[in-house]
Amino acid sequence: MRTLWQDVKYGLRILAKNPGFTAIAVTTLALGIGANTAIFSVLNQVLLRRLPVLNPERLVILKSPGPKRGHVWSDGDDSEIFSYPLYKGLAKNTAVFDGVIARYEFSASIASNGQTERGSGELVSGNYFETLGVRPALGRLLMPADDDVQGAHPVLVLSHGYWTQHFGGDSGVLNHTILVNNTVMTIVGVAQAGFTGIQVGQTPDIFVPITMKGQMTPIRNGLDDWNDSFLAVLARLKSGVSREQAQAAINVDYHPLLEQQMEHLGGSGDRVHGKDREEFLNKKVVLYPGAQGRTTVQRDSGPALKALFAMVGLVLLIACTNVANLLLAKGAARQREFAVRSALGATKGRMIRQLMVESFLCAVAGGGLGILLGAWLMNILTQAVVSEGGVQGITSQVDATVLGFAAAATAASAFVFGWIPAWRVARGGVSQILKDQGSTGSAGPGHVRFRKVLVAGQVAFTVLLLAGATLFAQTLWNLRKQNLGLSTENLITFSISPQLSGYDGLKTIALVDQLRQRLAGLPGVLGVGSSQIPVLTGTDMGSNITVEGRPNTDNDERHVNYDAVSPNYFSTMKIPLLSGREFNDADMATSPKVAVINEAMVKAFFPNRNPIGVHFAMGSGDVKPDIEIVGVVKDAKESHVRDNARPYFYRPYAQFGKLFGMTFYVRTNQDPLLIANDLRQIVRQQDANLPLYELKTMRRVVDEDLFAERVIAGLSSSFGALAAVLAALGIYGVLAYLVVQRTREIGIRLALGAPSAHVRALVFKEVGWMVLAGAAVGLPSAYGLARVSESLFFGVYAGDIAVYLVSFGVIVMIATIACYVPSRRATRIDPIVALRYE
Amino acid sequence: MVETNGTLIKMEGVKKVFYTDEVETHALEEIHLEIKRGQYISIAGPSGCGKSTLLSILGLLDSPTDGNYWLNGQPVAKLTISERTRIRNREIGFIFQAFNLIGDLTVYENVELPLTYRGTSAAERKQKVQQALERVGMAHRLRHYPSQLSGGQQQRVAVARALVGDPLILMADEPTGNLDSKNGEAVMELLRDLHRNGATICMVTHDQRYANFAERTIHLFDGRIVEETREAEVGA
Repeated sequence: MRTLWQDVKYGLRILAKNPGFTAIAVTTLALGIGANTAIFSVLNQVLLRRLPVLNPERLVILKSPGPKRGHVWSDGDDSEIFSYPLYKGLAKNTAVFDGVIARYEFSASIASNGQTERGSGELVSGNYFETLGVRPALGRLLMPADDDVQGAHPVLVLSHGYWTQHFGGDSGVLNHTILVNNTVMTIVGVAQAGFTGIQVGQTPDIFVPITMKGQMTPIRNGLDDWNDSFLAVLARLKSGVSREQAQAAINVDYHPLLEQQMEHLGGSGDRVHGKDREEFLNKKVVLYPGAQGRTTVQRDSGPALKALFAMVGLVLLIACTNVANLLLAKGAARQREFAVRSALGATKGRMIRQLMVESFLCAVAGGGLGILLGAWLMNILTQAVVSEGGVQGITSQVDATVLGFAAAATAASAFVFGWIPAWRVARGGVSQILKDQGSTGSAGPGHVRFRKVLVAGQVAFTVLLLAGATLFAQTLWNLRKQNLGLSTENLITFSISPQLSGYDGLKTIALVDQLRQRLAGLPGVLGVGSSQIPVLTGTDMGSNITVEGRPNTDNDERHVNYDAVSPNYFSTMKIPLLSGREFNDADMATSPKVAVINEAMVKAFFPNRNPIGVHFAMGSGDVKPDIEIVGVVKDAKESHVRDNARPYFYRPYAQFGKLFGMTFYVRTNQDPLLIANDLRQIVRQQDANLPLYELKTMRRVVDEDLFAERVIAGLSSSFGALAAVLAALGIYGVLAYLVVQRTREIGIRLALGAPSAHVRALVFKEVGWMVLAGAAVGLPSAYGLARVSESLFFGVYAGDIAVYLVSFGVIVMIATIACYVPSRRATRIDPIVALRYE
Repeated sequence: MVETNGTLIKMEGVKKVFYTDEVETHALEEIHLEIKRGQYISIAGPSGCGKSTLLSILGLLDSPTDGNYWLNGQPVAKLTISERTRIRNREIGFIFQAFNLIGDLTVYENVELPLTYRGTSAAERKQKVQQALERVGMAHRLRHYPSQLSGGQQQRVAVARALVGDPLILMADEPTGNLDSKNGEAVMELLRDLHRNGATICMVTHDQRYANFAERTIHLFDGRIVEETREAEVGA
């Protein structure tokens, strides 16, 4: 132990005496470890972290893959969503489960302390907290008795975060009432700190008994409807019961429940017969691990996060290679020292230990700085993820897991960059080095060859990263170039949810009409439109349709997304009208039902006829086509910039009985943010208790929709640039060393009359081989990785030769720059001095 | 193990051949050598005759291609690297032409090094380092770094480092090669004092003046011992 301490002291002295080396090595490692720590922090929170509940490994998610009937309110995976009656039936199983829970996230308009804000709520079953094993921080949590009768228990539990932020952690909030979606609710408790529900990316402010759904989502209750699926269902396995056993048991209960659901399909116009019926009834419940809760965000962002983590891992590897190269150069200069140590009786292991201690000290300094850098990067990254990516609950906190990762990365780095140089130094031939009394010791050709191999490896990794960065940057570029079908210039948007503030259908329509008129009267406003579905936010709404004169075939072919929009919507959005007319104020609730369709719908449903004047109906079965097509517009992006054009129809919002929200678009003749306060004021004047939310420019909406692509392109480009700089340093280091080592040879050549170009070519030849060897490995590897990541690209494919040419071109350019100084130095060698050089 | 009869080193038919790019270089041929305890022997000869190679093999820094070598009665010609390292640490003290002090260690730490590798306790190390430095007259420079010392002082420290572990033999490879004549003389006097106090010394030198300090000189030429002179003969 004492000798280890000696090694530490000596190592610190060595690092202090070589400030240049130490600074470069520590900074290089800090960049690598910092970037890895930041990405890992997000990856951990999104993909790895388990729910902060009791024994999370015993939680399972219930899924039922297969055909769905009725309405499915899903956030990505329909198979995870069940109706309330189905949930109640499944929850009766107490043989294999300690509890079966259900939840549904809803938008909440929360009025407290004299302010109305838009928040997030979670409707949960009464046994939710009990089954998860979550404790109250204050008061009590919801209990089974709270969800026995529909609408009878207007109570809620605050999340710990909401309690501290909005009530200052005041314990006096218990039994106070607040207004949630126009319903007076009593606060009965606060959930434990750290518990933010069971889905990464969602942080509910309040938890409300599921039986209050009618009050929380006033335009639809759905609790008694077997065919209204909206609940995510999880269960806790009994101790000693395996997932397979539980799955077998729950499926015994499931089949009769499906039959009951089938009975309730009767009058919906969605009857199922024959093979479809059989397929529906043969559905099974499949249990998936639920330790991490619902995995919606994981599923969506997992591939991108993993790709980024792999890329940042490569950056660290390149950083380690660079430090290893520096250590090898330093080791060559210390060969005599270690030969002496060996002569004095130091064993190989003892010398390796000493060098490894030095490496670890260097890595610890790099790791420490890396954690600080990582924390800073995490802060930037998590702010962006939360504010632009819409993934709530991701924090920049450096917790024990992140610290553990940083420590592991530090230790692994020290091993990776330290081991080989240490081994090579310690194995040096003692006798030969000591015999060479006068020289400072120079490494043999094997040493240089190994350093060249390391640089070639760096080049390979860099080419890999550059190819990835090029692919992702090209993807973003292609998406940015996409024709949205609408203009985002000087367009600002905001949303309201009148039904959450007690407005019924008619009142909502009247409110929207009035707001549109008032907004249009603002100075500088060129047009005002509104739609029920906010454009480019990933939200959609669809229905099967029946077109007159067209036989109904496959359900999928008849499913069309739609939106409820205002008069002047298309002109305000600058979506070109191709034929017919757009909606106007005459399209009232009592007027004939009308629709405007897009080009894709014309191609899909009216390939050989003029759709204007044709009627269709929403739904299938015994429905009468009574909606007349009055116009055709060009395709516009609705859900995502990435989406391809697909059939879409628009209807006047006035002809919709139930509107669950409205998003306004205001086009101005100047910077639209200049009227942001006016927009707020108009809404406040109209109804002070009506929260306005998502006020932003349409350019920002597009940016947010492309958030993942922007992050990937930005980070991968940064990683590629960092890798290129590190590779340049690596190439420079080796070439500078080679020039010094070959000074005598170059001197002789110059003395014999070699022109400068010849000498320069000698240096370039060295780098040429390293770059070619690196590219020979890096380019095929880049292609292989691109193949498996193709789902992340847009408008570019793995086999795009231009991507690899660009990557190769960049690395050649980097190598040429790195080569400049050593080659210049080589041409300036004085033959007389060089021939004396030893 | 063989009977030593006061013999510390015995070599029989030692050969050393270096192989490089299909070229065989015979550095040593049929070396037969015996060194008694307490002897002061010098190895002399022109440049490239194999002096340093012989010293490397004697000091277990290298191994012979062929032949036998006993150190203190123990055969050491075919030892593993780790066994050779252990013996070097405990039984051989080295003095090099270029001093070979470690620049980043203080005088004290340089001298302490062989004891550290041996696993000697800190208290004992301190005592022995102090004693060794006192013997060479460098105890007042404990905290200095090699770069703060003159060449002669550095070589004294190197001698202290060679002595500190109480080795069976001191191997000195051109110990005055990097010193001016005054410092060279001083170091040679120091070695003579050590020998008078019982140390066994084996020194390589190409300088006849310094070879004369030894009681016995072996002359090498083309890797072979061609002549051996003893103190009496030298004096005669």
